[in-house]
Amino acid sequence: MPRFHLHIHNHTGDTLDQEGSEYRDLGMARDKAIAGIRSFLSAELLEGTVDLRGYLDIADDDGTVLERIDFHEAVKIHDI
Amino acid sequence: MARCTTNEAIALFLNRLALRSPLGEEERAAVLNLPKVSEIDDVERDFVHVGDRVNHACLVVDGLVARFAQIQDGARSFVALHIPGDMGDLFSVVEPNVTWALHALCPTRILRIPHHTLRELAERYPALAMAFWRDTVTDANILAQWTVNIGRKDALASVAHLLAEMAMRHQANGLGNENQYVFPITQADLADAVALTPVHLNRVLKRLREENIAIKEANSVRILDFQRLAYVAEFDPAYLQLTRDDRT
Repeated sequence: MPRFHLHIHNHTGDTLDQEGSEYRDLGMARDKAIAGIRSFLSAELLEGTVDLRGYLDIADDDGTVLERIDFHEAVKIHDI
Repeated sequence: MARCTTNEAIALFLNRLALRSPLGEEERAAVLNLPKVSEIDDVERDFVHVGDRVNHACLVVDGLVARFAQIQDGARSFVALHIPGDMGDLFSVVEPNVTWALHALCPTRILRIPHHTLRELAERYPALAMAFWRDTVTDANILAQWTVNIGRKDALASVAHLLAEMAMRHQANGLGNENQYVFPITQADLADAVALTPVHLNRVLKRLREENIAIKEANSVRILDFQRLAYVAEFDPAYLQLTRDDRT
């Protein structure tokens, strides 16, 4: 299976996924990326803040960025 | 780091038992002379399957083993990690119907010890029976602590706790120390062990690294400040029962 690297870029800096993980295809990598964004945004929410200013790059083993997901694309916010 | 031999792994298992239970020379010799049915060399993936009925227990000689619970759609979740010197399924002696899987996380060597051998030892040496029982209690304590970590702690504390626990377990088993130990687990598997996504785990590991607390490398962990790691983790090693006190 191909290996994908999910690199996070946000207010805490760059968190590079040097090890990567094997996923069936880019679609599966995208699903995992969205789940990952939601996971750490959930942790931030429990601390009272959610910062949507950031993005996640899905890259292949050669370092080529295949897709970028902005954090706000991973969640739906219903504002008051 | 040199790989453990079979005899070294059995000696590690004896040390693990003796750490928590008083054993005389005869009991110790009986463990060191355990007959071995078979070894599995460099197994990867499952070597005990859900639904199996087993007649042996598995001693980890070298590598790293995970125990998984599995739900009906096949999704899995870690419930335990076992290192060299651990008998990952000692409790199977009294309950051989398997409801979980044992899975090698890297090329791993396993020694199969027949149930009847362990049963005979327990019948002949009551002190060994107590030691085996106490060993399974330790596994249960660790599982209970994992439940608390996942259910009540934030991601940073949960990951820090696992790293601290593995340091103490390696040290207790005579492998590594509280500063460094071999830990050949991928980030994806480590994420599973702490119920995080790999993305979230990567963020947590970065924070531990940047705060000079601990570094997870490809096949090992370096702990830069064990006191701070334990503080972040709210780590109290009492559940590991690393001292014998006055037990009989």
